[in-house]
Parts: sequence; structure tokens; C-alpha cells
Amino acid sequence: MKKSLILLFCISFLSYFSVLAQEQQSDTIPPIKKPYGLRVGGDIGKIARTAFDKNYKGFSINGDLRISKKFYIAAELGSEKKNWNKDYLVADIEGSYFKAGIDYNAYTNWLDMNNSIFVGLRYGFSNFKEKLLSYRIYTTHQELPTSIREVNTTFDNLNLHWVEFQFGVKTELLKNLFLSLHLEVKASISEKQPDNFGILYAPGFNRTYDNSSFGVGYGYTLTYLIPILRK
Amino acid sequence: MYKSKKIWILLLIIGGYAGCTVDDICSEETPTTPRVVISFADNRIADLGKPLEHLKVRSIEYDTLVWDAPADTIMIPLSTEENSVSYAFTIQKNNIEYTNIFKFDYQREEVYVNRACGYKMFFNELEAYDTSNEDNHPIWAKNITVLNPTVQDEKESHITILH
Repeated sequence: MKKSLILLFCISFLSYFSVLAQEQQSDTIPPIKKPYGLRVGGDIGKIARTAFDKNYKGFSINGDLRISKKFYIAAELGSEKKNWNKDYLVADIEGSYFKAGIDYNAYTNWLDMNNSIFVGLRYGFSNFKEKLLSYRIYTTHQELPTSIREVNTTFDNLNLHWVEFQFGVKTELLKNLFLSLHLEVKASISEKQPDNFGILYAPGFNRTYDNSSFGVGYGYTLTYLIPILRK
Repeated sequence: MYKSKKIWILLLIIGGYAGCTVDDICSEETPTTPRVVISFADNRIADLGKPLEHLKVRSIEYDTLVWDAPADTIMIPLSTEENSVSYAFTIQKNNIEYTNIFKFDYQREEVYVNRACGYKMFFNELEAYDTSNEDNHPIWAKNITVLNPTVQDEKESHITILH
């Protein structure tokens, strides 16, 4: 928890400095007015998966706030339910997550265009529970039978903290309506593991891997810009 | 706009690739449920290993053969379903079969391994008994001793049979 607080502090500190740095620049050429405002929306990819994948339910609210020419403060709040169903383990994972951080737009727009190719850094926190439904004892022999154990054991109050790197594009489809696709690479920094079980999946982080603390993901979001001012 | 389109296509390709992850398969190197390791020694000098020319080990409960080969040190499974398992250990000498029935009692403990292997089982408080009935068939083993009552790996012998 202490580690995560330090990280959150660093991110907010960095974003604060980026604001300062941008403010100190003085533009001599009369600039084209760019909208500064709050973009809010949701992940349509998660809605589509909920409709087509019977083992998944999820949604998220995504938003970002432009704080300078190139930088945005971004956040995501979501909830997911996932059924893990493999040979040796069947479990339900359910919980919610929050991500916050900054985006940097590396794309120079022409005239009044508002597209972006961005990289982002996030701090993520997920709180969830796992319900172990059935499992088998793994043996290397077949001479003696092994049955499938049907249980219903709930592991409550699990959590996972991670840092995430994002890379993606945003396109203005219609006036003030943006479609965004990005990929996520994440690394777990702290976990609260269940006793005699493991974290198979964490909402927001996605599935974990046996021999690494990394994770991957993607987002496909539709957001609407509420223009607050133009610079 | 052209540059942006190219990146969209790139993202779709990478995303599609990332979506198809390999299945989780339990690797052979991962230690899972251990078998019990049994060695054979001389009845007079217990420290002296005494291999068998040929040994057959058959499960009493499930009537399956778990060993059928020369035996120096053998590994046979314990039941993940019951706290006890019995085996008939049979050798042949001059066309006569000699059989000892050994019963193994233990406490079972389920231990999580990982997502690919699920759970494994440890067998604790292992005890071994000779339950042979000499009226039915001649026996060959004189004594069975538990060396290590905690079966959590297959590195060293848990049991020695003297003959």
C-alpha cells in the first residue's frame, strides 16, 4: 500500500510539472484554437465482449482532461466478471478497478484536426474476489483414478496493484466524438494472494501468467468531448 | 490522417496476435503430486541395497499394475481419493510366485501449484503395514520400514523393504 501511494504521488507530481513546463512556453505565431476540455465515454470493446463472450461481463467509464498542448490526465473506472474454465481449474472472478495517469500526444495535428497517436502511463488498482468452483489434483500417473472436486470456495478481498504502459490512436469521428484504440502492457507491483490458491485474473489487469508479473490488454473506447475552453 | 490509418492497422494486427495466447500446459519440470519412493535392502544388513530381478506391483483396490520391471528403487502412486491404498508385491523364484500385501496409510493435503497444473497432493504421516496372508501364498519380504513419513517430493526413499 505504501509503495502504491508513492507511485501515485510520483505520477501526480510529474503531471503537475508538465503543466508548468507547458505554461512557460510563449507562442509568437497566432495559434489555431484547440479545444480544451473533458472527454468522457466508455469502452465499447467491453460491451461487445459482454454480448458475445459468455464467460465475460464488463464495462468501463473512461475519461481524460487536456491539461496542456501535449498532455492529458486520464482515468478509467471499471467492473469485470470473468469465468476461468480450464482442465484443472474452474473459477469465477469478479471485481472492480481504477486506473489513473497521463497521456502524451505525439501526433502533430494539421490545422483544426484533433487526432492523436499517444503513449500513456497508468497506475492501476483492482479489488476482487475469486470463487473456486471445481478442480482436479494433478498427477503424473493414470493407474489410480482422480476425481474432479466440486467445491464453492470464495476468496474475498483480493487485490492487485500495477503500472501500465499504453500506446494507441484517437480519431475524431464526428465533431467532438472520438474513437480510440490502444494496447496495454502492464506489470504487477503488489498482490494480495489467496491462501492455497492463485490470482488467475484481476479485473482491469486481465489474466496473469504463471512465470511472470506482466499482463497485456487493449481498450476500444468511444468518448465525447465537452469543450470547456479553446486555446 | 494517412499516418493515423497506418497505426490503426498496426494496432489491429498486434491486438489480434496478443488475443491468441497459447494454452496453459502443466510443464513436466513442475513438481506435482509425488509418488512414494521405495527401496529394497538386505534383511541382515539393512544398509545394503538388494535389488530385485523382477517385481510386479498391483493395486488391490483398482486392480491395475503400477510396476512390472526389475526393481532397485521404485516409485508407485498413492491414492488422491482415499487415506489408504494397498498393493500386492509379487516376485517369482524357481517358477513359484511369492506375494506380500502392503497397506499404506497417510493423511492427504491439497496444495496449489499454479494455473496450468492446478492442485497437487502431499501425503503426510505415512505408515506402512504388511497385511499378507501366508495361508494363501508364500511371502518374500521380511519387513517394511518407513524412512520418511512425509511424501512431498520424489528425491529420496520414503520406505525400505527388507528381504
